Amino acid sequence: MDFKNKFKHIFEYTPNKERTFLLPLSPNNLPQQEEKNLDIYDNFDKNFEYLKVKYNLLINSDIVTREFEISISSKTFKALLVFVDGITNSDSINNNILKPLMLKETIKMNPLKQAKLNNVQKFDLKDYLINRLISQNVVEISKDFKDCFEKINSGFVALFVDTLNIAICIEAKDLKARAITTPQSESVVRGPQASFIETLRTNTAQIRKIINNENLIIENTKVGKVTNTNVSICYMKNITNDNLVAEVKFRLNNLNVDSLTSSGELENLIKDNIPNLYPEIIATERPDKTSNLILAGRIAILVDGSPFALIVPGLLLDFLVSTEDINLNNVFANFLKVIRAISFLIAILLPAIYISVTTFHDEFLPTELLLAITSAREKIPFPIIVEIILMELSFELIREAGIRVPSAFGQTIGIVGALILGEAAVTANVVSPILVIIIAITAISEFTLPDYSFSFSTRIFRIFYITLGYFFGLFGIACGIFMHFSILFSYTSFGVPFFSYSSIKEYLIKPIWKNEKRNSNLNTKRPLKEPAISMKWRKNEK
Amino acid sequence: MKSKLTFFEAISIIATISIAQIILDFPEYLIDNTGTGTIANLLFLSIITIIFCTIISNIFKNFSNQDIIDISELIGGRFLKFIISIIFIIFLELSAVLAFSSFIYPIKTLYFQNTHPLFVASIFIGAILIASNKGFFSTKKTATVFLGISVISVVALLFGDNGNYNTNNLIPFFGYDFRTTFQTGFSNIYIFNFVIMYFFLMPLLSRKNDYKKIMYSSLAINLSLIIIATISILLYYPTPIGKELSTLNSLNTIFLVTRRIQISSFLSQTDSIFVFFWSFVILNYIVLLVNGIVYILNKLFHYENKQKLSAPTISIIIGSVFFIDRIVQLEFLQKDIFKYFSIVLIFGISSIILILGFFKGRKKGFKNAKK
Repeated sequence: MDFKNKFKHIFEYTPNKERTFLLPLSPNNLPQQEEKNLDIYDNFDKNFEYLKVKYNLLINSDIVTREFEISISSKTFKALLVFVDGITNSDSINNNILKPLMLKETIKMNPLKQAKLNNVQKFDLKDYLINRLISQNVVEISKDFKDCFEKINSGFVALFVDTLNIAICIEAKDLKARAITTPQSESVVRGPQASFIETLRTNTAQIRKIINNENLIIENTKVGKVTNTNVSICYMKNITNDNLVAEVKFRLNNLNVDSLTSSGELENLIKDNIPNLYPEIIATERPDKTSNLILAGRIAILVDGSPFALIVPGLLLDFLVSTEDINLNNVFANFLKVIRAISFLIAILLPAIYISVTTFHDEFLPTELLLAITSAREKIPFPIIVEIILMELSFELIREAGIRVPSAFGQTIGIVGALILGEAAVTANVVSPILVIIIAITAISEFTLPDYSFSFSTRIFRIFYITLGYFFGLFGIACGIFMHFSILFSYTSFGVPFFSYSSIKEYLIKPIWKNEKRNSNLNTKRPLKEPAISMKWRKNEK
Repeated sequence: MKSKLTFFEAISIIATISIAQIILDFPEYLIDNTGTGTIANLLFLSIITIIFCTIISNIFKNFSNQDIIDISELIGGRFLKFIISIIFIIFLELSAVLAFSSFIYPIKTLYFQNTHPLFVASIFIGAILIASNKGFFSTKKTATVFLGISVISVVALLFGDNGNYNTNNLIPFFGYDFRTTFQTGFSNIYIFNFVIMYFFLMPLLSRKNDYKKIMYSSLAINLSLIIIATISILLYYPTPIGKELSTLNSLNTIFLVTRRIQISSFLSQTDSIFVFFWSFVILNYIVLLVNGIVYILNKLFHYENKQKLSAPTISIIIGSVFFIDRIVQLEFLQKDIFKYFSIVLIFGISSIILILGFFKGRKKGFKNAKK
């Protein structure tokens, strides 16, 4: 650019050659009001026009309409099929719907039927189509458009016939789903290796397969004004407390949300205590765990499109239970449970105790240990709180990176993390070796917690306790624990105390022959699972 | 029904009161009064307390759903109910103020020498505020959870020093003289001020029939704990316990006892562990007192959301705590005001109201007593 052009550029208007786009305020800000639910017309053209408008048929590429005629005796009726491409089975539509309706030019009828047909008032076209022509197993009638659209969107084919003020919805679902695989987040050594998938019906079928009993109820409801997501409520009619079932239904039916796309969203929408950082609903991808909890008197909620079942109510100690436990001898299982409870305490409190003891209560430590800590910290330029925050932050970064990067890089992240944190940081006198040990033990303890959401809350509480420990020592930690307990005791999950003595008592597994009672907090219809003597073969019959 | 007390919850709450008072150095005040005769004095007072409690329980059998406030309304109408309620509220407020300051000042001296007491108290205030807002249901559960560890911490005082204490400190068993131990020492009965709970317990119980059982069990536990704590102090320090040990250092004698406890050669100074566990007891105790005040206020004025009263109640307690800026003031309040106030209120006013209520109830018939 020469001087002249530059001069021009400064003092003269030159149009911007690059296109810029700024999102303007939407002119079509639709009012937030419910749309009218219209009944289906008996006029074919009217129905078709309405469908064109509602489904934006001119621009919507996956909505398929197929016009044709049905001839019955001497009469011809205009007909229309509407379905969504990709979620319906073409073969089924061709063979079981279109063929029977179209292939015979004129459907011949016996004289008796002919007589009926001539007398139009007596002839029922709807019944005739459903009972005689459509050879599909699930056929439902929709009288209004809203219901009809819901069915079309979920894999039904809607048949509109001239003179009929209904739509005949014929199921032709063909939802593509992945195969049932092993659970990704809850793997076990012993026990079933199947997990839920994204298809609701497959998931309910897996539960039905395990609980082979007519008392298993699987009720359906819809959540989300826009998405109309199918949600299933599964419970044992003869075990689960009726009030609990009613409460779950009440909460699900009173959700005024536009969309529901995952079970995680639903969990946050129906939990009792919004400020509670602990999960209050168990989320599992295992059908066997779900079935066991249903049999214990709880309720499973399955969301279409989500491979996780939500189980209510979830109590604090449930999140320290692994699926493996019931497959083990109760002594081994209890040993692991105690280890997990201890590791939960370590994960929350260890860094806080370290910081408070080294800051306020050093007289408590044996002289040798105190000297070891002091000499290790001698060359560290930071106060202990900075040291801990640095380590915690680095650890969180490594963990987050480990989750986000492709699995091939996972190992590299681990090595880099271990080298940087474990070796380099200590050599560079940024952190003391004892602190590395403390953080490592804390991290390992946290990994033993079986529930993903539960370990999140542990991390938050750890930071809270570190702060208390730094400012107030053990005294502050005691106050923190006291607050923690007071808050925990005040929470309920679906009317059941979130943390109680009885849940502490019932945390440890009894021997299988002594495991007669269901959780007393759930107030089930059948508190006893089995008679006092379940192993009858051990007793001599007299 | 949610806030009704079960057997263990009731015992835990009553035990919490006693353990808190042990931590707040009440046994030292007894020893100051009666010297080595404190054990004999306590045994004597225990018998009197048991007899007193038996009489109370027999009278309360007739008032299955009423506490002392209701009974005062029965005999003197709303006016007497108001007066009695205010007296109880003052008593509970005073107890909370003393508990707060008696615990915070030693902690400040031990661990936060250069810090303003308000800073040390802030976390304590936060914990009390949150716990009080969660209500009585949460408090009773928390009290039960920490009962075991609290009892162990008191018993550990006696057995923690590997026998390095001096048994000669216990003699002469009857103290200075008969008069000091049994006559002037009678004022030591205020250590049993947990008896106040028995006047409020009946309507709070989920099973009314458990009243007597709870009373005797809690009496046994509390009397044992008080005697154990007193023996511990006597064994460690010869009487009279020197002023230089406690007052000048503004440390409770019981704190000094914990400093001598050794768990093997590995853990030589365990006082911070005791402070850690005792914090739970004191917090529980103060939250209980706040809940008690809220309960009485609610009885008087019938609030829609009674938990909203806890914040103003705590504010008054905290405000009063910072009026006490000297240990001497604290001692005066504890030894001279609180002591006689407890005795007059529990063994005087409350007993008279209960007895009058019994006679009035018998005259009118107990079924109609409420009316």
